[in-house]
Amino acid sequence: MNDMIRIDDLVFKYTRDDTGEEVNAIKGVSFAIEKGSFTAIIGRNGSGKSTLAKNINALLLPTSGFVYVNGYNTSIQENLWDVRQSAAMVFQNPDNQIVSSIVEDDVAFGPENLGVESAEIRRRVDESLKAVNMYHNRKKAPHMLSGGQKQRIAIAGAIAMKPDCIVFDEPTAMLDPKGRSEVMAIINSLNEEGITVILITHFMEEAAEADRVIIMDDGVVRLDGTPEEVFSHADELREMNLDIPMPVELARRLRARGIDIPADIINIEEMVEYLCQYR
Amino acid sequence: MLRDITLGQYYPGESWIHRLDPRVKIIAALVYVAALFIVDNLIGFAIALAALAAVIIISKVPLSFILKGLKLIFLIIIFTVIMNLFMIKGGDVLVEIGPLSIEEKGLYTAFFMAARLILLIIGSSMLTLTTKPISLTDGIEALLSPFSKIGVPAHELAMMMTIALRFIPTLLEETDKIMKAQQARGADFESGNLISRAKSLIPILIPLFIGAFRIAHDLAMAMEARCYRGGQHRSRMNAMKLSGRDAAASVMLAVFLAAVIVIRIVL
Ligand SMILES: Nc1ncnc2c1ncn2[C@@H]1O[C@H](COP(=O)(O)OP(=O)(O)O)[C@@H](O)[C@H]1O
Ligand SMILES: [Mg+2]
Repeated sequence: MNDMIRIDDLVFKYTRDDTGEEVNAIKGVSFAIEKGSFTAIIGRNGSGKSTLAKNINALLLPTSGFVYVNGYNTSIQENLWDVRQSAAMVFQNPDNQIVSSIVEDDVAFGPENLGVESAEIRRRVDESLKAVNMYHNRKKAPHMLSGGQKQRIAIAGAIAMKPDCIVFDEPTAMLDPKGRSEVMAIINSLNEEGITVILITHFMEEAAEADRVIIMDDGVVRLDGTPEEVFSHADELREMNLDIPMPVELARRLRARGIDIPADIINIEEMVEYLCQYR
Repeated sequence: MLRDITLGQYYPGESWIHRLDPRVKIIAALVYVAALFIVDNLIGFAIALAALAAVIIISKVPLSFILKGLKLIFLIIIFTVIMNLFMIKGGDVLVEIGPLSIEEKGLYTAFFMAARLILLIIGSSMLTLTTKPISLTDGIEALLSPFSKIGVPAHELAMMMTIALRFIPTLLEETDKIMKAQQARGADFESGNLISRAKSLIPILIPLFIGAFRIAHDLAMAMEARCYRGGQHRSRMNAMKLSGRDAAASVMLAVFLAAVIVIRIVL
C-alpha cells in the first residue's frame, strides 16, 4: 500500500462525436507511482498524456484495465469523490479553471463542494493562499492578475482540497518565463511537504527536476526511469522529436570527444561545477 | 464604452447599508419597487424620495457616481415624459403651442410617471451599488431555495450568475483582442451603413463564440475535477448570518411600507 497511484493495463478509447470513429488514445499502460514522489511525464502532442491524467482523476474512466488512486478503484461509482479529493488536478489554461470573480472565493470552491464546515474552509483558504504566496491578493478579481498568478490561484484551489497527490497537466505551457519559474518553485515545495506530484510537461528542464521521468509515445510508455537514465537514451528521444536538456546534450558531445562526464550530471549548475573542477 | 454603465455596478464601501445581509437588501429593493406603484399622490412620493435620500446618504455612495451611469436611461425617461405631456388629454388646457397642447391630465401623468421611473431606477441600482455581486448571487440563491422543491433551479441560477460575472471581463478582453487582430488585417468596424457595420461584426462573433464554447468545456471539466456535484452536499465559506442591523433595517422597511399604504388609503 505504498502506491499513491496504480495503473493496470489501462486502455482508453475516445469515440468521436462527429464521425463515431474510435480513437485509441491509451494502448495498454501499466505503472505505479509511489507516495511522496515527483514524477514527470513527457511526450509529444497527442501521445496521450492528458488522457492519462484525466483517467487518474476519474474525469475519464478506463475502457479496459484499472486505475487505483490511494487504493480506490476509479471505475467504482461510489469512489468518485474520494478519488477526486485524493488526486487533485491543475490544468494548462489558468483562465479556464477559475470559477469565481474573487480570488478567495475561488479557492474555497473545492472544499465547499466537499461540504467542509465554514470555519475550516476559511482556514484552508488562508493556508493555501499563503502556500502559493498569493494571500495579499485574496480579495482581487482573477482577471486583474498575471498568468503565473492565476495559475498559482488554481494551485491554491487544488491544495485547499487537501489532496495526497496533484496532477499538473502542462501548467507552465501558457506562462512567461517568470510565471514558469514561480509555478515550478511552488510545485517543488509542495512535493517537499509530502504531496505526490505528477507533472506533465514538454519542458525538459522541468522534467530534470523530478525523481522519475516517464516518456509516453503514441499511447504507450516508451521509457521510464530516473532523469539520468531516461536522458541517456538520446537517440530514442530524438526519434520521438523530444528535446534533450542542454547539459545532457553537452555531456554527450563532450563524451564523444573523449572527455568523461559522469552520467548523473543533468542540470546546468552541476555541469558548471564539474567542468570548473575538470582538468 | 461598455465600462461606463453603472447599472449593476458595485461601489466598494463599508457603510451600514453595505454591511446589511444581501437577503434583506434584495427584499427591501423589491418592497421599494412595489411601494412606488402603491403611491399615487405627492405626499407618498415625498416619503419615497426621503427614504431613498436617506439610503443614499447612509451608503456614502456619491450622487454623481449614481447618476453618471444612468444618463442613457434618463434620456429615455425624458422622451417618455414629453410624449405623455402632449399625448394625454383631459382637464384644463394649460399651454398651447400651435397644434400641440398640454392639458392638466397630461401634466399629472407625465410627472408621476417620471417620478416613479427615476425613483425605481435609482432605488434598484442602490441594491447593486452597495452589494458585492458574489453576495448578491448568494442572496438570490438563499431566497429562491425554498422554491427549489417546486422546481425552481435556485442553485443552478446562482451558479450561472457567478460564472457569468467571472467571465464577462475575460470575454470583453477576448473581443478586444479579436477586434485588434482583425483591424491589423485591414478590417473596418467604424464606417459604412448599419448593415455593412453589422456584417463586419461577424468575423468577431464567430471566433468569440468558439472561444466561449472552449471556455465552457474546459471550465466544466475543471469544476468536476474539484468535486462539483451541484447544490447538494455543498457548504459555504461565508455563511450568511442575520444581525441586529438587519432586524433594524427590516423594522424601518415595515414602517415605510405601512406609511405608504396608509397615505394611499387616507388621502
Ligand atoms: N475528446 C476527444 N475526442 C476524440 N479524440 C480525442 C479527444 N481528446 C483527445 N483525443 C485524441 O487522443 C489522443 C491523445 O490526446 P491527448 O491525451 O490530449 O494527448 P496529449 O495530452 O499528450 O497531447 C490524440 O490523438 C487526440 O487527438
Ligand atoms: Mg495535453
